[in-house]
Amino acid sequence: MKINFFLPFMSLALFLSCGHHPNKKPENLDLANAVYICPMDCEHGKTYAEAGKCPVCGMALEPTMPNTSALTGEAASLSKEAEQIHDEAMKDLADMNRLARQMKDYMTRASMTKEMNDEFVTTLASMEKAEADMMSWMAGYKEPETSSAEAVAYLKEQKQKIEQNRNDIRTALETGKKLMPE
Amino acid sequence: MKRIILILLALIALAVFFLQPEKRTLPILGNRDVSPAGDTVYHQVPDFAFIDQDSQMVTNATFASQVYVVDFFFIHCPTICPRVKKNGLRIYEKYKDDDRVALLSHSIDTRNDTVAALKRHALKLGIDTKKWHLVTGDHDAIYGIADDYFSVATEDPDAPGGFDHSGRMILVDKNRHVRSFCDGTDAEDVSRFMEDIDVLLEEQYPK
Repeated sequence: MKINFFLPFMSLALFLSCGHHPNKKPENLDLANAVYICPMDCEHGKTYAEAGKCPVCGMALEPTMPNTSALTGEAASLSKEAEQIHDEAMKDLADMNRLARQMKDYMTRASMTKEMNDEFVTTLASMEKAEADMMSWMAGYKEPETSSAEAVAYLKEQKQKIEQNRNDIRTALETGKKLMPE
Repeated sequence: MKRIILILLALIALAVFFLQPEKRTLPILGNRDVSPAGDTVYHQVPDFAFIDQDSQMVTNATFASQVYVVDFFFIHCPTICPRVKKNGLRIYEKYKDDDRVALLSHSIDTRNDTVAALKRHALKLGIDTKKWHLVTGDHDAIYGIADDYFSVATEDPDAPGGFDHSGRMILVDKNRHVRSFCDGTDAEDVSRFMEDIDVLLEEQYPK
């Protein structure tokens, strides 16, 4: 009797504590590489290396394919490196943009020699170009679907491009910093 | 026996009284000043005017009677934005039918993310314009307002980098005050943030 009384509440508690099912069961499940996830996704995407029970709701974990890119070996590390360089460059880009705004503002109120003015204009132009390059890199970049030799060549080229862009952003930022008075 | 029952009842009553959750309020974030008259002046989101995916002007007045969630993104972002977008969609789904809440995403790629591109993006996400404005506008105005939000929504204002690629989401109340923020790439932090939205709604829309 006691059990019957609590059962509806327990199932209600389970229902309330867990979210929706995020991952559809993959059709081609490669059990050797599968990870395990709670069918209710109680821990928001947390996966386990081995089968077992969900520590939150106690349901049996289900196998699913890890949610990572399909790339392996050199292609995988190249793509990761390119993305890291991109994220680094985005931080500098924000600083560069802030400095560009300060420089434009300074130009409107300071009296400058022609040489100084030219230096400001050139640096602002290189800042604008570095940003445009970043945006077109991102618009053009597509992670390859396979790890073929062509894919590796493509990723090498992309990594080089984004490295160049990161350096351009840094150079423009440093030049601008030197131009602006304290 | 009777006395024991009475004591037990009293204990239960006390427990119920003390265990009641204290009503939580969100702080007003950002620098504050004191006016000559001695009033505290809180940081306010500055004036803005941008254009959304339906070519409609979006200004502070758009959110005069709404609390709203701000973030910065760009359509072609390969790393952080997709994760933030996923969490943005969670917020969108939760408040889809609640007119008191809106979302405002600024594109920082003003060159490529034209109104037409934003429209396509919105259609792909299947979102309603009135609820989720994807805006573009003057390059420096967008980066400027990103800096302003970031100066409020950060533990360390001197940290390098800006708000625009931090994945941060922030919550603004009806009075242009920043009340909460979270890391939009972190699902758990976004869940906490959504509880903050509920707390703010209770404060700003008393029944």
